[in-house]
Order: sequence, then C-alpha cells, then structure tokens
Amino acid sequence: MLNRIFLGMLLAAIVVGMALGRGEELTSALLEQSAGAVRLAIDMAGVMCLWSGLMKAAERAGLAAAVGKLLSPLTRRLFPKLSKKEQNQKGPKEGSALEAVTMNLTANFLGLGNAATPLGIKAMERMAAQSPKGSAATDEMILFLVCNTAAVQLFPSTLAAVRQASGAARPLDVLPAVWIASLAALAAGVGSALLMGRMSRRREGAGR
Amino acid sequence: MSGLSAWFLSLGGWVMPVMFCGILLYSGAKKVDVMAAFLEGAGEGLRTALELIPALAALLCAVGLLRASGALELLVKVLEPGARMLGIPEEVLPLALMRPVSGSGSLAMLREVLEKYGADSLAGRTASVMYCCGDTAFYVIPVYCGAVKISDSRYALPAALIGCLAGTVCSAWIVRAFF
Repeated sequence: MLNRIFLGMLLAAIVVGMALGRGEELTSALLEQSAGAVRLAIDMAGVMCLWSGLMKAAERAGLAAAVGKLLSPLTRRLFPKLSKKEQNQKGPKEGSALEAVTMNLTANFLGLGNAATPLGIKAMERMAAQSPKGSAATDEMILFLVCNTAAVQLFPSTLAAVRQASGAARPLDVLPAVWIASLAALAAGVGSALLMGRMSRRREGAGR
Repeated sequence: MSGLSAWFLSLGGWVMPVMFCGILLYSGAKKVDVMAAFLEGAGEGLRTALELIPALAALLCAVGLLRASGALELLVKVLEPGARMLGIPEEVLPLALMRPVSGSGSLAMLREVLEKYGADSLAGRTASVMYCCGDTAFYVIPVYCGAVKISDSRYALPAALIGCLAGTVCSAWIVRAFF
C-alpha cells in the first residue's frame, strides 16, 4: 500500500514538474528534504527519549496496570459480550480477551506504541478463540479495531517533538484541542460501528 | 467563556511538567530504580527516533517533490470546494488524505504544513490536531485481522473512516474556536 502511494507521489511530481519546467526546484527539494529528514529526526530525538524513559519508569511502577484498572469499567460496558463470559470475576480475568483489549487500549492511551501492537494481536487472538464466525470479524472485533484506530492519546509525544522542531512558540498549546477532537473521532467511530452492527444483525434476521 | 477557555488552554502547558515529575516521583515511591529505568527507556526512544530517518527521508523527499513540482497546489485546488463545505483549511487536506493510510507519510505531510505555513498558523495548528486524531486504519485493520486469519473485516473500515472524518472536521472547528 505504502509502496503504491510512494510511487504515485513520485509520478505526480515528475509529470507536473516536467509540465511546468521545474527541474531546478525538484533538484533542490530532493537535496534539501533528504538532509531535512536527518535534522528532523535529531530534533525529535530528545523529546522521544524523554517520553520513552518516562514510560519505562511508569511501566516498572505498575502504572500501566493501574490505568488499565481505571479504564476497565469503560471497556466492560463497551464489550458486554466479552465480559458476560467472565461474569463470575469482578475485574477482567487474567488471560481473558477483555483483559487484552483493556491493556491494548491503555497502551494506546499512554502512547506506548511498541507495546500496543503485540497486545492488540493477543486481544484479537483471544476474541477469535471465542468466535463462532470463522473467517469474518465479529462485532466485538470490529468495535475493538475502531477504538484502536481512533486511539485517544493522553500525551502525543511525536506531535510535541515535531512542533518543537518546527519552531512553535508553545508546542503544547494545541493539547486540549487534541483531546476534544480525538474524543469526538472516537465517539463517531464507536457510534457508527454500533449502528452498522445493529443494521447487519437486522439484515441477517430478515434473511432467515 | 473566555476565562474558561483560557484556563483550559493553559492546561496544555502544565501537562508535561506535572506528568514528568509526578510519574518519576511516583515510581521512586514504588521503589523503582528510576534512573536506570529512565536511561533504558530513553535509549529505546533514541533508537526509535533514528529508525525514523529512512522512512522520513523517503517521504519528506516525496512530499517535497510534490510541493516543488506544483502538484500539491494542484491537488489542494481540486479539493478546495470540499474543504470549504466542511470548514477545513485547504492547506491541511493532503494530510487528511494521508492520515488513514500511512503514519510516516502523515508525519512528513505534517512537517511540510508546519514548515510552509508556520507551526502557530491556523493551518499549522489544525494539521497538528488532525495528525493526532485517528490512526492508520488502512494499516491497523489488515494487520490485526491478518494475524488471526480473518479475511472479512465487514464494516470495520467504513466505521473507522467515519471516525477519522469526524476527527478531521472537528479538528478544524475546534482550532478555529480556540485560537
């Protein structure tokens, strides 16, 4: 996918560039931007060090698990089918699908990018083990995928680093706006997933 | 209202110092060797930043070529009517298109907007907020489904894209209301 987009961008650039006769500009863009990539990464490196150092300490102190516990009433309500299978337990059971879902969403919320993907795949595996549908995604899986792509982040460290590197006067002044907009995106995604799930169940019911 | 929104905006300035000191002190109280953990994590962060360079070099060049050739302006002009309808500054539309597709591509697009129009411009702020709401649906959904051999993701992609679109429109409105 990314390969095709990359090639598409190059094709569009060279065709339009030739039509407008911008050879010099294209040359300097290539030289400037490749050097700029290194500068940007170096400028961002400090903030990224800071954040992953902080998160390592937080992990060791059990903070991720504590945040997960805070989020678990929310996930239990969002995934009632998964929690019904664990009715006898109070919190999410160790090794359960709901626990993996909660921990993945927590990792996303805290911006633990590297930890989130394995946890997410574990959540999908555990949901697949309970699923009757075989090769089609269940409603719970879809809801989980939507929550995952709408990832609400408490502190967007990459954004902070890029804005710092690009000379923002106060790089984090957009933070409250980020929270509101990403909550709205999450709500719209979850809302439409629930609606589409209901519609597809109704269609299946009518077909029988 | 202005007092309230000023208070809300000033929150942004406090999040980082409070989290930084608070989390490290909390970890210390939990008997974690804070310095060792921090250094280990920071090393990982440094590696992540350096590993960004190849993808950034490729995509910043591609975006730079689009800009220099005039193709980006052309694209923006084509998208402008749609942008006006949704109330989005047209400069950020290429980023909005890239967002659900590629993480490093959107980072390159964001950088381009911040450099070209300024980090504190309306377009720069909108792009910043937009960059954060919505992950790469076209990447995450196939990867997660593929890992458990699910071939039919049903309505997952449309629902995720609706969320993404809502985030895009909301970013523009909120930035305009706040700044």
